[in-house]
Amino acid sequence: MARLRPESRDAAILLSPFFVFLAVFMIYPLIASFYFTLNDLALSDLNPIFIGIGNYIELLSDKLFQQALLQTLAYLTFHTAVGVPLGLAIALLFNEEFRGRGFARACLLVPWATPPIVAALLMYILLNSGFGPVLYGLNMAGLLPPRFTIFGNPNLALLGLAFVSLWKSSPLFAFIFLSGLQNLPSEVVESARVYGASSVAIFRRITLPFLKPVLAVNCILSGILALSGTQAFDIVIGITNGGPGFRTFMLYFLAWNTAFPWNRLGYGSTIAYVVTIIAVIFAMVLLRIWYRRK
Amino acid sequence: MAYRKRSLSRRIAVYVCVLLVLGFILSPYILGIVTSFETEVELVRRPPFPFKPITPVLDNYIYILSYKPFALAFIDSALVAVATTCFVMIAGSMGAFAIAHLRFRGRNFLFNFVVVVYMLPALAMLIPIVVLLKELTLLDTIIGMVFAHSILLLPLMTWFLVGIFEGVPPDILEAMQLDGTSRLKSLFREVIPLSRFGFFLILVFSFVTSWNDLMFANTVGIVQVKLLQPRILEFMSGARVLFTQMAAAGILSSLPVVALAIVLQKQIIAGIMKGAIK
Amino acid sequence: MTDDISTGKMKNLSEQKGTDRRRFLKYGAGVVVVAAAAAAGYYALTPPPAPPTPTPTTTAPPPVTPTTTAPPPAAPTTLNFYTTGHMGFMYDVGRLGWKPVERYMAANPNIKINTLVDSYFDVYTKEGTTFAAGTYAWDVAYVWGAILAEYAKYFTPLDEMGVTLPPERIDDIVPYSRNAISYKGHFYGLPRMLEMFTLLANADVLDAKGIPFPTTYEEFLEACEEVNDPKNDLYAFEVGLKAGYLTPPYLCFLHGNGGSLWKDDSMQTVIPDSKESIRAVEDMVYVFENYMDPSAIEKIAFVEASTDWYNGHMVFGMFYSWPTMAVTDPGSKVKRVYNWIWPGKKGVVRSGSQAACEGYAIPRTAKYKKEAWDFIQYLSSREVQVQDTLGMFWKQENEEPIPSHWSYMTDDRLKAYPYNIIMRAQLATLKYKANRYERPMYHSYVGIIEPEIVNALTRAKTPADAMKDAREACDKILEDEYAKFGGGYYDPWPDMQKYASRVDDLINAIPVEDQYKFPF
Repeated sequence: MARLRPESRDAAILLSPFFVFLAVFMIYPLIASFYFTLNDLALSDLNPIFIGIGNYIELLSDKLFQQALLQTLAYLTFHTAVGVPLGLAIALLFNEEFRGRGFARACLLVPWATPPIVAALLMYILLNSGFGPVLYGLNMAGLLPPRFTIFGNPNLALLGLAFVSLWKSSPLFAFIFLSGLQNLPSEVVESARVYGASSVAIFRRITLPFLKPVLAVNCILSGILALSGTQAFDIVIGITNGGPGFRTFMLYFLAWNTAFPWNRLGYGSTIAYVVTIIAVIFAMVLLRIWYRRK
Repeated sequence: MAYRKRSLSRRIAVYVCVLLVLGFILSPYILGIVTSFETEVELVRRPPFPFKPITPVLDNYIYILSYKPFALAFIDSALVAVATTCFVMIAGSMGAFAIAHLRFRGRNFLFNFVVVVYMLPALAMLIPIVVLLKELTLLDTIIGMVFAHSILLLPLMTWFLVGIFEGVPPDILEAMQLDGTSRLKSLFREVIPLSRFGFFLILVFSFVTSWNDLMFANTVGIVQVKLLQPRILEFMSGARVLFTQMAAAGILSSLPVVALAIVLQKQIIAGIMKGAIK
Repeated sequence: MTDDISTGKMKNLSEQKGTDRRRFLKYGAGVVVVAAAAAAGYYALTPPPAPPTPTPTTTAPPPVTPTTTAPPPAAPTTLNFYTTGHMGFMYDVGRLGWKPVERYMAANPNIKINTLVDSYFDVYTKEGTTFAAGTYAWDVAYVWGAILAEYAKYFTPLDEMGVTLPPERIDDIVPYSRNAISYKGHFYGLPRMLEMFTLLANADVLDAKGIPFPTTYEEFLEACEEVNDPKNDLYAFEVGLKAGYLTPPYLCFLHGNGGSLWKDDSMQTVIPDSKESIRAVEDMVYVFENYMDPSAIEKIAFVEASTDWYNGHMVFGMFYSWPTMAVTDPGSKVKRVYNWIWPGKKGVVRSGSQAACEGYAIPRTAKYKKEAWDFIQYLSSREVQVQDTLGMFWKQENEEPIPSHWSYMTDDRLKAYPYNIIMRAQLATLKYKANRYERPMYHSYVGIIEPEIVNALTRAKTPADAMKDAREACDKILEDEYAKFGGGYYDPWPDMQKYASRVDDLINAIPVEDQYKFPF
């Protein structure tokens, strides 16, 4: 890394817009929102009642919070443990030579670029049991039990949402992996092949280690998207609205519901902070693993 | 070029898998496009498309395109997205350059702080941001919306840019210093062109994030500034959910971002390659 | 890095300067941080001042008779008018081309109305965040009972503006509609309409099988049994069961079991676990599993079911009366509709329903309150409301209601209206228990009760367990509500009996063919 002469004046000038913005638009909201979590506060009158860590204590015995926490963790795990390897698989596939490869690669960015509510709407049209072609086709083929729904089924709804999220994210992961793969020198792979190494061995010994930094980036990205990205919220509100029952309530969605429709801004902000803590822990754990292996 | 023995069965397998993957990725879109050409009542009739042919109609698009608020929202969203991208790129690159190449007290702290701030829930800060914007009389203005979106973007983009700038060879900077050019000038004249691929990544990411945002668009925009994503929500009115019109609106509103991503994909790949991965 | 002699000299010099600059930067940065923290602390600790609670005027001002045209103001003013997507008539979606906003602007050339629309599901949150910010946004804003109850502090009560509604006017407003625009004895605006949940039936299917329109819940179940034909994609009944708008159907089942969602105690405790409520949920489970399309659980209210109705996919529907309008569309599979009250359990009650009443009020941050009040009076006038009902047709933005004032309902045009089986059904429903229990924290209560009902519907919990859990959560919300809002809401059962004979007269004045007349 380059280190130049300390030129503090230049640093001050260069940093100033950035710093001013940071101070005004991030530090203040940060402090204010943290202050909210220490209060019993409602949007309907904005009269804060200071309760210290009362909100945080309430979280410990809140059953809905616990349910949302578990569901969020499940969603996060699925999103990462299935989404990232799927992205890798797609990337490896799209690394092969075939006709129309450019077009295929271009398509990878389409789900990520789609606005989340549009994605939610399109997937609902695809997967609903009223007029969705997928379930209709499976029903016609006799593969479904009677009265089968995905988003109306408490045990499947979260999986359905995770699938939607997967659709939105894994092509992005694939794209990032693919970009990383461009850097892999083909001569190394070729010479390995000439020496008789099998594809699996090449993958394990050469490709995978090479992609480690990309893998870490993708995992962290997956965590952020699943926890607090617009995906965690827009998709839920667009398709199931937290239902059926509370089975697709995720922490971010619970935070919003608590703060706004349920008129408990202080408590809702607290839940949002918990999401942050989880995101930070997730990122730290991943970075730990990566740094250790490196 | 070494020999590449690709057996026929392997090639077939590759093509089949590629088709499956493309089907997975594109099927909602294809369905969305078909839906946007259906009438509402045809959409819910069973059997659904593709098990029965549809009689395509243009009604949905005609309705959307002649619905003035939609066109206005489209323009406003574009304006906000472009302005946000510019602001983030300028402010972010200035800050990232300082962090990457200049030594000053608190450099490491600032860098870590930037990363942590990114993790913070925008939701928790929503009301404080709204109140703040109102005090600055920026609520319900384009500038206010740009700042709101920048809050989502600036930390991460700065983080990316630090990685990119650190990839710039130091000799060039040294040479510039000998010349006596100020840091600011050196930034714009030399460093940015060298890291232009990274900038494409920032550009696309910023534009897409701003365009797709719903939360701030819905809260910061009240009367004067109405953005696109909330417009689509409007179709879930109390009386009916207008799927076909929502589909048309959705397709239309995804076109710019999807097109942008596709057109610039080569540059984005290069950008990721070159140094965003840090 | 090369080390040149010239560079070395510069290093020494710049190092010296650098130290000074660094110190300057350090202090400068410190000042900025401290200033930012101070500003943050200031804003965090002094939230916007709470709006003053309304105090009734001690001297009664002379009663103001509402007028429909505004006295000419000095300069042209633009009013921001915030309404919802399903009130399309308000923003000029009308079969008859009767455009209320345009007409008002034509009659008042110095007023311009800027109409802003959001979906019904978003209005509540949007108003909350906007009012909390304390910024000027709208002069006239959409309300219904729960929104007004919760955000009353952010609206201007009429008496603060020196406006008192004369008692005859208040009496003329149907009591349910009064709830939409009043809170704790103060009026905040005027209602725009009235709508009740009813039972709808595809008349041709019933007639073909010789099934009479059900007058009890038990008859309803029998009828469902006879018409249900899932193999041919025909379901007996459909209404959306997704959480988000599940309370209205639930309330019909509840009231049809003789129950009530509020206890008759001083706290008006919310009691989802009453025996009638559990029975109601059990009924819903039974109907869902036996007579409804399974996809109903993914659909909101009638919002998505309406197109199924149009396609002849179900025989009975439960909603406001406007789906009857499908008959006006040539493509509809439904050609004739029977519409009447939701049947209650035999020997318990004849009927039970829920009422939707919406209106308009004036936010505290409004700029032109006088003009806003004039416009609200116009929207609540006889002409506008009668035209709204007459303009009913099969179009998504226009969820058509009936007028909110008794005197408007006697309008001859409504009597001559070709689809006035709707009028009769809506009026008939007024004679029975029908309420949506509008109170502050309404969204919190239903935010818990609705998912628990869904738990019962999907057999994730038994109805009894689900409602017990709902009650537990509701008790907590009750405490919170009382801490924030105090108590003393309006009577959930406004004395509709007082108006019973009036309703009878109105119904009898509406001519329909005998086949559309059903017993009380």
